[in-house]
Amino acid sequence: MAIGSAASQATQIVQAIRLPRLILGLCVGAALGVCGAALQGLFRNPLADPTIIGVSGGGVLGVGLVIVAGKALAPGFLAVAGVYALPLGAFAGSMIAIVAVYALSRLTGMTSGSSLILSGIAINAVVAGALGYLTFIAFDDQLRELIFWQLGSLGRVMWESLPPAALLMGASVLLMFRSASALNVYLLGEREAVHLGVNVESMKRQVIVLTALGVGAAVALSGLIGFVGLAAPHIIRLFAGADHRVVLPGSALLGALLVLCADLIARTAVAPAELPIGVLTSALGGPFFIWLLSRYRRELF
Amino acid sequence: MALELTHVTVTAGAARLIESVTLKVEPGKLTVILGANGAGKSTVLNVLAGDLRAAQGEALLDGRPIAAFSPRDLAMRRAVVLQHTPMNFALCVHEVVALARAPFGLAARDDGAEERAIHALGLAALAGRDYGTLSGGERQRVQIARALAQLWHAGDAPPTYLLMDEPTAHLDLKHQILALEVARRFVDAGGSALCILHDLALAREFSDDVILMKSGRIAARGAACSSLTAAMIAEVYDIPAERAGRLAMDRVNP
Repeated sequence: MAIGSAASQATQIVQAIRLPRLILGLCVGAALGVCGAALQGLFRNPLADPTIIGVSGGGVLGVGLVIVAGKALAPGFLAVAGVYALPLGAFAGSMIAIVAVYALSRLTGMTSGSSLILSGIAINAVVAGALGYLTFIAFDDQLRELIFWQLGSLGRVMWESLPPAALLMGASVLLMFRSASALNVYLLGEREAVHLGVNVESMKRQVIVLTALGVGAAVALSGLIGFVGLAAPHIIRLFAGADHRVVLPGSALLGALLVLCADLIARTAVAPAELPIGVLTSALGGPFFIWLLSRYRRELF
Repeated sequence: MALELTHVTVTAGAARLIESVTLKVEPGKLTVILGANGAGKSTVLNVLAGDLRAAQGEALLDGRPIAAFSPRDLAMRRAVVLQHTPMNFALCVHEVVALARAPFGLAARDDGAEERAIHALGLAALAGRDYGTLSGGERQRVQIARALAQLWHAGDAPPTYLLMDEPTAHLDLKHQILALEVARRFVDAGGSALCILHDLALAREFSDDVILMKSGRIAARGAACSSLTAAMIAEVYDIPAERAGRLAMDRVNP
């Protein structure tokens, strides 16, 4: 009897807590990996990453606005959107951020690596300022919510919220694969890609919208998880070359693996307490980014 | 069958980059454009490539406005080699040349066009190398090989057009000759080519037609031997006639 109840308790834990968390980790990792790889292709810059250029931050800001100011500013939106209010906020924030970064980097010259990073700094500064203000005016319970999204965690997932977000992230990943060949040609340059018959504008639109979808959905459920989009594509390129037909699926798999490993460490390192996964990926990702900078400094700056 | 401009004027703001330019790139001919920096050579090539629109005049491919072609249809008819094509990602030489298949998708024939192009440009030993680690001249040869493979994939009929902006700029003498021999063979096989060059001797050696440009207009045209006169070179490049006289002769003594 006792054994049976322990087993059923374990089953329950797996079904209710572990399994959705596992699925979320897979989806978030795959989406961040693929979106990172696609952004690097879109900007023809190996240092692009959803966190570094502010796309994830935009998503978090969107979520923050819904949490803190939603009730006061847009009660109608909250009533209509219901459980989708946060994902919609995240998607809108990510979309605005990526379009802004793209426009800024065009304005200052696409080819220069530093201009992209500087655009990212600008966007992240705006995001940080706005989030700071939201933190300042937030009530205690809102504050806790805000911090959760800024630090990132897979721990809050429930079966109810998982399917729509998983669907969006899955769609973002799978549809992105269709742009692999166009992204390959685009590595040669914008004009060269047109000369080789690529419909560049349509490819860019697809990558931008799919990235906003994937990153927005990832942020909506798990908050800010940095550097996966940077690390996964790089490791794949190191071993398998820069062909996007390999890099995109490879980054999806490796991104999923990285997030699951990070979550494993986050859950067990300071048990019974739990480390926010975003803190962990940033701690590992920061030094990785420095290594990349030193590797690419000659070509990019 | 030709790639042609009829009285084409291109403007940028108030400035006229080229004015009333009329020219024809025809099958079986290698046309060379010469002229000083800023004379409008690249603008002509960009209009022919479909990158720039004519403010006035017509740009036609086989009698149809170039703007009416989709990027993909154009890519199956003409290839372009630009001056600089840097890359931050580690594609190897063979992969870059294989991008030539892009317009054809799955319809691309597996007839070894990439390998032949790599061989033609003397790149066989570099085929596995990371493009980013190559020198400027090597990159240029890779781009020429890529353009050549693109047109080989397109096949012979209808005729195809090879447009190259200073393809020899970073090449040593041996590879300058190699690159233009490749263009020559492409033309002799029924293709058409247009090259912007700065070297009068190469123009004389490899061209069928020469077009001399000055200040956005065509100053002279014709076979190299007849149009590359000392007086014309002096005028187009704005140099003393006495120097131009020596340059218009064969540069290397027998």
